Amino acid sequence: MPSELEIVRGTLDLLILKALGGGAQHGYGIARWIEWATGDALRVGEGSLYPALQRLETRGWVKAEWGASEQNRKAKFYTLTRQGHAQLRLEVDTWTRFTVAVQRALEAPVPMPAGAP
Amino acid sequence: MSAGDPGGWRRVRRFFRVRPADEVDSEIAFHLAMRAAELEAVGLAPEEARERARHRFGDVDAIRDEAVTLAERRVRAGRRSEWWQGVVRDLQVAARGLARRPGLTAGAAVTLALAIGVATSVLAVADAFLLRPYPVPFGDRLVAVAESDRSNDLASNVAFPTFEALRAERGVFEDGVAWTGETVSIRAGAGDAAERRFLQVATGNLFSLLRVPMALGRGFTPEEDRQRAPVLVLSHRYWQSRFGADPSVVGRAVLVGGVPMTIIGVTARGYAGTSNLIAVDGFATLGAMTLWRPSFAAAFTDTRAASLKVWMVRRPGVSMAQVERAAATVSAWLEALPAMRGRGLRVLVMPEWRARPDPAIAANVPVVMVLFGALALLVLVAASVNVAGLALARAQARRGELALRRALGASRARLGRLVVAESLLLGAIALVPGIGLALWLVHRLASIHLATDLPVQFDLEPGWRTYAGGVVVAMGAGLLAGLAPAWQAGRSAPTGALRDEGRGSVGGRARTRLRTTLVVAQLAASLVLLVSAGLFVRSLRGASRVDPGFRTDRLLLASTDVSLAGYDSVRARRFYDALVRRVEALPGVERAALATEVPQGYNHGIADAYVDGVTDGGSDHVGLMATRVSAGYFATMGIAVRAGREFAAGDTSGAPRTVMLNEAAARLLFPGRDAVGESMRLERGGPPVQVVGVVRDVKIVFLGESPRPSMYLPLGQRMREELTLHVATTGDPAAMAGTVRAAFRAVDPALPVYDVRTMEEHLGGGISLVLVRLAAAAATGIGVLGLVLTMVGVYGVVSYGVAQRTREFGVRMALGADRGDLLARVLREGVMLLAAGAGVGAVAALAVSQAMAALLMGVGARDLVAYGGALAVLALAVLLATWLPARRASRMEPVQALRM
Repeated sequence: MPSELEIVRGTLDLLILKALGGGAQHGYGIARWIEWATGDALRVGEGSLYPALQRLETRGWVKAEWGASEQNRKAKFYTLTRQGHAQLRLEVDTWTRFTVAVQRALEAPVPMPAGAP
Repeated sequence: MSAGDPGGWRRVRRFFRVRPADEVDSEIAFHLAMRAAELEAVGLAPEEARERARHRFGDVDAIRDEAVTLAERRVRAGRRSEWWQGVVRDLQVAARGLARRPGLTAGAAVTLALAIGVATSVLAVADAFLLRPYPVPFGDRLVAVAESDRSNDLASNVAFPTFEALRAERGVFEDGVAWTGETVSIRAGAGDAAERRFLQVATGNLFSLLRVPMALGRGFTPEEDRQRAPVLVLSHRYWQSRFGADPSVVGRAVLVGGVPMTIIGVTARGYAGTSNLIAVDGFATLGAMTLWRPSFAAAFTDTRAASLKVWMVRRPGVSMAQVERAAATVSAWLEALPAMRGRGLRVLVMPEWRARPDPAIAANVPVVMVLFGALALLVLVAASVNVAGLALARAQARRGELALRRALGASRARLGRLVVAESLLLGAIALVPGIGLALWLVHRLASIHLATDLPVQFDLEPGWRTYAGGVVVAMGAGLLAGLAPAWQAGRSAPTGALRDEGRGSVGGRARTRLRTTLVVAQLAASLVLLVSAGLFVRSLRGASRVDPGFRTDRLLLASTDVSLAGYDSVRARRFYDALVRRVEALPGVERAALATEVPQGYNHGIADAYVDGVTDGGSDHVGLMATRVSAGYFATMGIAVRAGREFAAGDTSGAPRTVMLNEAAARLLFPGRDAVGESMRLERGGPPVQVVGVVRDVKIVFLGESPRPSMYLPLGQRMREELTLHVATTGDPAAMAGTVRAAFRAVDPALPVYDVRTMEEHLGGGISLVLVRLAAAAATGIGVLGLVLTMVGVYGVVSYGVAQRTREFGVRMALGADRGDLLARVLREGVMLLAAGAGVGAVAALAVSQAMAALLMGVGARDLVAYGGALAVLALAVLLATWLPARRASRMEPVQALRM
C-alpha cells in the first residue's frame, strides 16, 4: 500500500506532465495552471514542484532550457520530450482505470452476494 | 500564463559551466518573486506578499536542498556519460590512425609484445617461486623451520625431536608436518624389474594437514604412521607412467626396498607437492620407512640426526615474534642437552614463502629475482622507448595534421589524450601475443630436463597474478611509449606549423641526442648478444671435436645403488665382483669396470690431499677431484696410463693403501719429480697412501676446462654402494643394453638398474652441452629480441631525422640533387649509428666472451667467424631499418617537401 507521500508524488507528476502538454512552461507557470485547473482544491505546497521537475528531467520525460519570461526575466522553461508525451498518455490511462475501478467498488453492495465469481 | 518562447539565451548557456545549485536558487527566486508580485497586485503589502509567497511555497530550504541534490546527481551522471563517449571517440580515432599505417603499427605491436612476453614470464617465475602462497587456507600462517649450527651456517634440515619440541608449543603452533626425500627401489611385482624411485616420506598428518587433493583412494593417517602400517600413496605422474593410470591400482601390493606395501591412493593430477622443484613418485610415512630402512628408527630420538624438512602452522593471531621466541626456547632446550653441548645449534623459523625453494638457498632467490626483474624492466623500457621513437617520428611527419586539429578547437589535453589512446591501444593489441609468448617461454623453461640425481621439475603453472601482471605491464608499456609523444603533441604551436614557418620541430635537440644514444647502446648490446650466440652455436659443433681424454664410442654405462636393497659393504663387494665377472663373460663385451662417477656427469667427488711442503693458500692441504674406481677402469675407459700401473686385483683391503693421480695432480703435488712411488695422506695425520700410477688428464666437469688435478682411489679398498658400471663393447653399445640389464637382474633381481645409456648419450646430456645448448638458445632468443627492438629503434631515429629534414631535402632536390644522393645521405646516418654501436659493442663482446671462455669448446673467445657473422647480421638489420625511411626520402615530391 503506497504511502500518502507516494500517491501525492505520482499524482503531482501526472499533473506536471499534463501542464506541459500544451508547450513550454516555467515552474511558476505550471504551479498557476495546476491551481487554476484543479480549482485550487489540491493544497500541495508549491515548492514540491521543483524536486518533482528534477526527477522528471532525470528520467528523460522533460527537458529544461533557460529563457526569458514575459517580463523578460531569466526563467527555466520545461518542455515534454517524446518519451514524456508517451508517459503522459500512459499515466492518464492508468489513472482513469484506477478511478473507474475505485468508483465501481464504491457502488458495489456490501457484503459480497453469494454466488459471485 | 501563455507558453513563452525561450528566446536567445539558449546558445550562451551551453558553453558555460553553471553550478546546479545556482540554477535552483535562481528558479526558486523567480517563483517567489512572481508569486509575491501577484499577491501585491491584489493589494497585499510587499513585505506581507513575500511572507505569504514563502509560506505557500513550503519549506523553502528543505525543498531547495532536495532539488539541488537531484540536480547535481543528474549533472554528474551526465558528465560521466559524456566522458565515456569521449573516451570511446578517442579510441575510434586512435584505431583509425593505427589502421592507416599497418606496417608501423605491426612493428610497434611486435616490439611491445616481445617486451610484454619477457616481462610477464619473469612475473610468472616470480609468482611461482615467491608470490603465490601455498594452496591451503592457512597458507599465510605456514612457517618453515630449519636448523643451523656453528660449523655450518647454512639453514639445513631438522631433527625429529626438535620437530616434536616445536609441536609441543601448543600456544604458538596449531600443528606441523615433517618430511624427507628418499630414493628407494620399487618393484611393482615379483617378476618385474626393480626401479629407482623418489618418495616423499612424511609424518602421518601430511595429507590431512596440507589438504592434498586425491585422484583415487585416500592418503595415509597419523594412526597408520604410528602403527608403521605398510601403506603407500602414488603420485599422479608415477601412476600414469608406470601403472598406466590403471584405476584398480588401489589395494595392489608393491615391493618398496624389498618390503611389501599396499597402495592406498593416488594424488590428483597437477599436485606439485611441497616444492615446485621436486617431482615425487610417491608418499610414505616415516613409520613405514623403518620397515625398509630399520636404521631410520634411531632418528626419531636422535637430536643430531637432522634429516627432515619441517613446516609448522602458527595459530591465528600469533605473530612471527612469538614464533621466534618459541624457536629460541627449543634452541635453548637443545643446547642444554649433554649430546648437543657446544654445537651452537639454533632453530630458525621464517614464513614459508621466504624458504623457497629450500631454506638453505632461499636467501639467494630474491637476488636472482631482482636480477631477472631488472633485465625484464630493461627490455620493457627499451621497447617502450623504441615505440615512442616511432610515434615521435610519425608525429613529426604529421605535425601539420596535429596543428589543424588544434586550430579546429582540440585542446592540448585532448591531443595528448589521442596520442595516449593510440599507445594504449597498441599495448592492448600487443597484450594477447605478449602473454602467449610468456606462456610459451614458461613452458620451454618448465620442460628443461636436467639429468641430475633428484627428479627436478619446474612447476610454473601461471596463476591469476601472472595474467593480471601481464595486463598491467602491457598498459604500462603502452603508457610509457605514449608519454613523450603525447607531451610533444600537446606542445606543438598551431599557428607556427600551419604557416609552415621554419622547421617547426616536434622534438627537442637534447631529446634527440638522448634517443640516439639509447639506440647506439641497443646496437652495442645486440652485437654482444649476437657474438655470444655465435660463439655458443659454434661451441656446440666444436664439442664433437674436443678430445675428452677417454673413450667415447662403444662404451655403455649403467648404474645401481645396493643400499636400496639394504646391502652392507661385504655383500656389496661380492655383488659387484660377481656383476663384473658376469658382464665380462658376455659376448660382445671387451671388458668392464666400476666407478663412483662418470666424467661430464653431474656428481663430482672432492677429497683432500696432504703432501709435505705443498700448501694451498694458508691451508696445509689441497683439494683434488676424487673418483673411486675398480681394477681395469683405465683400460676400459681408454685413459692412457703415463707412468706406473693401474689398480689391480691386488689392491684390496689389507694390502698397502694406494692411489693414482692425473698428470695435473702429479705436477701440483710432486713438481719436477716422478710421482710414482711417492706417498701422501688423505687426512691430517692419517695413514700414508702410495702413488702407484699417473694417468692422462681427463675433462671432468666442462669440456672446455683446463686440466683439474684429480686422484683415483681403488674400490677394492674403499667400497661404495652406488656405482656406475662401464662396459667397453666390441659393437654398438646400445644393442648391449638389454643383455647388461639382464646380467644385473641375474645377480640380484631386487636391485634397480637405472641410467642405462651409452657414453655418447651421456656426453650429449652432460652439463657442458646442456649449459651450452641453454646458453645458445638463450643468447639466440634474446639476441633476436634485441635485434628486433634495435631495428625498431634505428628506424625510429632515422625516420625522425628524415621527417625533420624534409624541407632540406626539398630544397636539395629543387637545386638539382638526384634521388640517389638523398638515399645515400639517409643511409649514411644509419651507417654512423652502426659504426658507433658496433665499436662499443665489439669491445664489450670481447670482454664478455673472455669471461665465458670456460664454456666454449673447440672455438676461441676471439673467433673471427662468430664476430664477423654477428657484425654482418647487425649491419644487415641496420641497413634494412634505414632503407625504408631512406626510400621515402628519395621518393618525395620536391613541391610537397618544400611545403612541409
